[in-house]
Amino acid sequence: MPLAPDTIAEIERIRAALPNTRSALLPALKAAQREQGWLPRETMAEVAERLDLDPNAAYMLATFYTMLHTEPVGHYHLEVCRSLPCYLLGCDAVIEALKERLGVELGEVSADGLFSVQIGECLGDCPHAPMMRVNDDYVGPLAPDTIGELLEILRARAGERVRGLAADPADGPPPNEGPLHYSNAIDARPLSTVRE
Amino acid sequence: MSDVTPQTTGAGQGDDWSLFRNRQVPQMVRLDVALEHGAYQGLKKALAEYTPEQVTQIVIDASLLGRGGAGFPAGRKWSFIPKAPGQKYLTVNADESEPGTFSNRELMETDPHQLIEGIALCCYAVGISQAFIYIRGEYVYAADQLDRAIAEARAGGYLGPNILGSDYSLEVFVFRGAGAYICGEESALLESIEGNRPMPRSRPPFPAVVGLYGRPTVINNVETICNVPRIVFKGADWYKTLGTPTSPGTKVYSISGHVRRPGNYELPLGTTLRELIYEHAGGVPGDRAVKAVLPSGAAAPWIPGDQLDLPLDYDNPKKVGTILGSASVIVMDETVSIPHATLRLTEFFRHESCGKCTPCREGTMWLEKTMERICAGEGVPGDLDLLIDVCSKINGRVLCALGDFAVSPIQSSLKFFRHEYEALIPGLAPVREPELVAADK
Ligand SMILES: Cc1cc2nc3c(=O)[nH]c(=O)nc-3n(C[C@H](O)[C@H](O)[C@H](O)COP(=O)(O)O)c2cc1C
Ligand code: FES
Repeated sequence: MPLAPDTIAEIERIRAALPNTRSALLPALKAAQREQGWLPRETMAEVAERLDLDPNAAYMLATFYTMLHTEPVGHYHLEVCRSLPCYLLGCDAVIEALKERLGVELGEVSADGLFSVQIGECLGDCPHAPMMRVNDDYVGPLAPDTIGELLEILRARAGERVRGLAADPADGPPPNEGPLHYSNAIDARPLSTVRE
Repeated sequence: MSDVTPQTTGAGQGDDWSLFRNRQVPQMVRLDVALEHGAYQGLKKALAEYTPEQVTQIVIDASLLGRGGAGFPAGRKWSFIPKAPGQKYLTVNADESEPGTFSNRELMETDPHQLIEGIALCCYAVGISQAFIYIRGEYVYAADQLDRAIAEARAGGYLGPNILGSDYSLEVFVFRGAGAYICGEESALLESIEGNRPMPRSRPPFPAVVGLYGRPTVINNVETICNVPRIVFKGADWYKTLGTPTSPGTKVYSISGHVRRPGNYELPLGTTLRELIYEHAGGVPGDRAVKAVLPSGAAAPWIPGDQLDLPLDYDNPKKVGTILGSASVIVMDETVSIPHATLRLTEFFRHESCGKCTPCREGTMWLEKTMERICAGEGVPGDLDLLIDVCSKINGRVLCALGDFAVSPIQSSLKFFRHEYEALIPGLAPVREPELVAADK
């Protein structure tokens, strides 16, 4: 699928703002992924070509960075943190609960195309451990017994604004609901939790 | 000792000059709100009263130490940049990917103009007209705040051409990463901005001489730069009334793991670990004992739970074989299995090793394999010596500090908790009396 005109305009804007064309490659790949959800080879090649670079230059970045996807992901891409602070607060049980509820292994997309799960390293939100990234937003603290309900809420909202995909508002995460706590919401300041 | 407290609200009020003074103020991203709360006073003062050299001198006199890990004096770093005219760059390191570290995020999200003012002051001092903020890709909200704040600052004349009517001009670009811990390493960060695979460069030459696009480049952490406006505005002598004589100022301590109130606490440098854990972070849930503390995320040697009176500044941790680093304190209580926690850290480093140098790439893989089998109860008696041997072959033989970081959890956990490893290895586990085994059943 060729890039949409908006994405091309965004790539040109980035290119003009940077001192060096090659520097625009990573932001351009991210813009392309934002539109298409992931980076098929043809898309990588198109981005590289727009910037007068070898397609291999794009492939080299796409295979290095964890946020660039060379395989399809779900409408909601869940990156569950597994680093030490989240581990100490029980992230392994959350990861197991997610896989079981969705019937997927890590790296797979659920049958309805809505969810994919990946494990990630510390996302800088340890006060809300265990936590995960849902596209552009942070959600936590998580618990295995509320994961099902949380997924239901996301499912019900799949038609609404979802940050991190094309045509989303940039002004913060959607409102909290039930066990779905967006910890990067403006009302989550200061960045802390109280635990007993 | 200081007039800085972490929980303060409402700002520029009285003597509150903490970095977090505005953390509860809504809409600090807006220029009008930021100005109401004292933003850009340091920049105005510098442009009206100080030459660039004087600004650098103030930062040198304040002994501001780099907050990103190594603690290198910021003013001295700036003074290494060649004075000759020509393109130079500032890149602010906002990659913040060390496990347990989340202070830069809150600084950027809650008061983006403080960082922008610091950038403008640094660039004025060094003669830089283009700055980058390299922010980890997952910090979408913080990056959006910065983009918006930069646009408003530019429209208000605090950035862009001829800042506040002077002949000094500056552009700031927010460069968003895409998920890679190695990008926090300063030379890998430059490679990432240049559009290459982010692998560290061998040094020398250092970035101060050959940095971004081959030009002299300053690289400083977000918190380092956020300290600059108040230092310039209030002066070096004021700054040195905070903290200790050799570690002046405050530090944002990020505390996580087994504490009741995890979060960011801005406290004078030299605050003890005990005060941080018990007075600020509310102690350990269930009042359990602290087994060990990681003072700087995954990277630095550990502090055992019986040494909590250690002052957290740039000197004292060195006396017990560790460093303050990024002051991201992870607390582990008595219930934690040390080998399993260590395995988590080893897996992190194996995953994040960029693969450029062999000792780190291969070494972290072998460390992980060995740790995995020990934790699975399948270790063999020689495994602990093997771990020590592999560590010694990584340490100091790598291009960047990631490899050195990777060995420190294994070395320090073996130093303090060797018995926990031995208990997992068949053949090393202490032979138990038959009646004790029977009593367990
Ligand atoms: C593997 C690795 C990761 C690093 N990550 C960061 C980081 O996320 N943020 C940071 O400021 N410094 C990080 N550093 C340290 C930087 O290389 C550099 O020393 C620092 O940004 C300099 O800024 P400062 O002098 O203001 O502390 C890292 C170093 C290594 C070796
Ligand atoms: S360890 Fe999970 S967010 Fe930091």
